[in-house]
Amino acid sequence: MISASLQSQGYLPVATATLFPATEINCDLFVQHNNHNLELYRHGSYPLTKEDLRRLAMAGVDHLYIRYADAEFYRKYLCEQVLNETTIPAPARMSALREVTRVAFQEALEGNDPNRAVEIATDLGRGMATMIADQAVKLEEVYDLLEHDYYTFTHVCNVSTYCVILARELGLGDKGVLSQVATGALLHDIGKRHVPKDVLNKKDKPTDEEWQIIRNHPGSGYQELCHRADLIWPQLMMVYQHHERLDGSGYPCRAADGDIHQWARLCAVVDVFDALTCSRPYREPVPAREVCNYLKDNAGKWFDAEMVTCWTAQVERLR
Amino acid sequence: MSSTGQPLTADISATQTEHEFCAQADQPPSADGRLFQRHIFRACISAIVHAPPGQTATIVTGAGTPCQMLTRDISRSGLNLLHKQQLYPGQKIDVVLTDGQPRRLEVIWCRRLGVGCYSAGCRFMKTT
Repeated sequence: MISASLQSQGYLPVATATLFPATEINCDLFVQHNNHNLELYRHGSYPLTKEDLRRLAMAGVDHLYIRYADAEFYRKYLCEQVLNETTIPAPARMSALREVTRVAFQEALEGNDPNRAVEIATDLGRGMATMIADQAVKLEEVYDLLEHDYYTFTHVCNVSTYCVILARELGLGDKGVLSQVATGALLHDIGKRHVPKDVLNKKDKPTDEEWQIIRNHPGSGYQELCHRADLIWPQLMMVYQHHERLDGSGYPCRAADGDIHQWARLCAVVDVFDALTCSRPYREPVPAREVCNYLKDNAGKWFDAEMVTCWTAQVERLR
Repeated sequence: MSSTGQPLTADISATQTEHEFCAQADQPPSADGRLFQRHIFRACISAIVHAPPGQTATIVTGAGTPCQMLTRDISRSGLNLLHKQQLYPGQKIDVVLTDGQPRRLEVIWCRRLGVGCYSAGCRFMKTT
């Protein structure tokens, strides 16, 4: 059981499934005893042994903790040593990568550092595409692992995961393309950091003026990223056009039909799916099957019909 | 609208250049919060639309080739024009207005009005 209070105290859970014996992570590991405080389990310079991991498993410990400040060491360790390790189930690797990336990504956004955000998104996108493309991870394997609360990182991470799965099912491209899709999806809401939090989290209907601020986020995100050499046009269109609708009722441009890029259409379908299946402060999550019906009702009108058909077929396999 | 409630239309004579027109249009800030008043300005102008930022010229149809555009209104700071293709924030457009002077515009926003018809708000860029 992962303790939310420990996370709020500055500790990050790491799954023991991602820890290898005799490998240095370069950060201290802590263990929780009897649902109370943490104790130092292993100093960073002393690698775990097989026996340590066996004892932890026997004691039912499936998570240790690291300090938030050490998250970058763990993220590097994951990227270098764990992501391609097929003996660890892909959903577990994905979950670990996402958890640790959350810290770095939020720090980059809060520190107003888009360069760092793009760098992290590229790493995460590559890792995610590798797992989903190479090991044919299915939606039903990862859906329960994803968190379904509507916080910005959770949302963009879910959208990215869904985008890669949908793109793979549509045969959009190879692993390299899927990696670019994942990165674009992680960045699709980057313009939202210019929207005040009280407007984003408002329980009541936004005023006209607030709507105008919200509607500016695709444009401001695009303008922030469009001069970068490490992003490609389809990724930029995921940022700029993910709220456009096929009938021209979306924003920011009211673009329609063929003027909406294929990757933006892809992002639009799963963006709405995640937004509705996540809980919000003012409403319960909508069941996935109901969201599928909503997408189907608006297929061809707002959303790309082929993409909706493909996505809802995936979702309907969920138990 | 003017303070008297009369529509503000451009009183532009055939001999008046845009320089003269803009110089005369030095109005106080308008009621909608704009720095400069807009004036109706309907003309067909020559333009070269450059590829949007983040895009290469070869991918955008017609990018970099001369075309015709319709203008809707003008102010000291910018121009509203109609184009048959979607334009993107930050995209550059070189135009020649009826005075024959080349000017460079930067797209600030773009809205689709109908099939193959986009309205774009652009600002004049300083030329060096």
